[in-house]
Amino acid sequence: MKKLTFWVAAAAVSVGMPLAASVPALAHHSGAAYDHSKQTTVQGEVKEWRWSNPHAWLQIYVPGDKGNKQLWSFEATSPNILVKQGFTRTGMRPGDKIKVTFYPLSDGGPGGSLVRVVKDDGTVMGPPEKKAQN
Amino acid sequence: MRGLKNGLAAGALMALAWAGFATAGYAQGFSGIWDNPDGHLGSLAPENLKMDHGKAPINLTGTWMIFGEWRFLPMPKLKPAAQRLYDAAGKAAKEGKAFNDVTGHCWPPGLPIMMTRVWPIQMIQLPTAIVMISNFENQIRWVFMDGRKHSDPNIYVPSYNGESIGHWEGKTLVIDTTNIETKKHFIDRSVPISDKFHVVEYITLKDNGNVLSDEFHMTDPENWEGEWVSTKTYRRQNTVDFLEVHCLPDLDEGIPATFDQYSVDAPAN
Repeated sequence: MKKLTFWVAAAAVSVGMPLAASVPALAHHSGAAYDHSKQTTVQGEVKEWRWSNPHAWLQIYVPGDKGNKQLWSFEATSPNILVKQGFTRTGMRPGDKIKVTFYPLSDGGPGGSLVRVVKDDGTVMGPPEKKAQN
Repeated sequence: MRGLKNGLAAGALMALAWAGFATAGYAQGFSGIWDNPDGHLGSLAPENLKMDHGKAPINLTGTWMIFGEWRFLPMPKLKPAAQRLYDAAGKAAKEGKAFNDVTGHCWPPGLPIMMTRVWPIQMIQLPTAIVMISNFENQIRWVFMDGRKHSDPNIYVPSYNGESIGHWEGKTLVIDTTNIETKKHFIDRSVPISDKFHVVEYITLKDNGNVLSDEFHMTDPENWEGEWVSTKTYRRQNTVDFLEVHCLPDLDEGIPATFDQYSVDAPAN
């Protein structure tokens, strides 16, 4: 029951944030830049996983078409909440190959709001796919 | 040459004087320099704690978490300039941009937003003061309960959570807050405040002390008409302790929503 309540709350926050306009309650900043109506994925290599309050954040290098690599940035929620989703401080190291699921920036910029990470060894951090899409 | 010598001598004397002051200051613990300007006893002074401040009818000590609506609804009738900012904030949000997102750049949220971040708030009730600490960036406010009056605004340094003085009316805690910093201080969707901003809160406990209700009555004749009234509700949290939360200079490096291209700042304030 506790788990269900958590996911209902998480879903409510994810739906409520874009409606909340300029002052989202959970974040220390506005969430207006993100499109919370859809999730997307990208693969890359970890540059930095910053485990901090009020937010953790992740930066990865994503390979481009011409052999170049582009820096993508993803904000995450507070570590206090992330640990309940399976994230840890040392769960990602620079150089790790990962697939990131996220709410994208509305203008398609390189980044978004982090939902889930799958490492190349199969480790999943974040809410299960099925429930997150309810 | 004489000027240089005189200058060096004067400098040496000043250095000696400062060294003497500092030495004496450290020896005396700089006693007195942080005293309240009006000489009022500190809220943690044993003498003040022992005084009879009346029996508190309820005890707010605990950790609390807001639930329900966090926006300050219903909105009051805004004055034209405030309405323009409010409308611009709504328009920016529809365009995927933040508007006057000051907390995103580490400015304190201030009262009343300090009380509505979705982070827990600890309250520690003493006979002389109630200390409220929001886990969101360790924001703190002191509600003085020892009968003091508001400070002279010509002396008091305006603060984002203001100067709060409380008293009991039956089982209700009434808090009167003034002397509030206005710079980059907004309510709800970018509604600014002036130095006439005044907040009165009515706090009660329900459900055997497990639910706290905080009814905000906010006035600012420069920015809206009449009282802006909104009630926030909190539930007691018994399995929560705090970690430090700081808005450090590099916090936003990996948070794209705070990048310049997603932000609009109004020229005012």
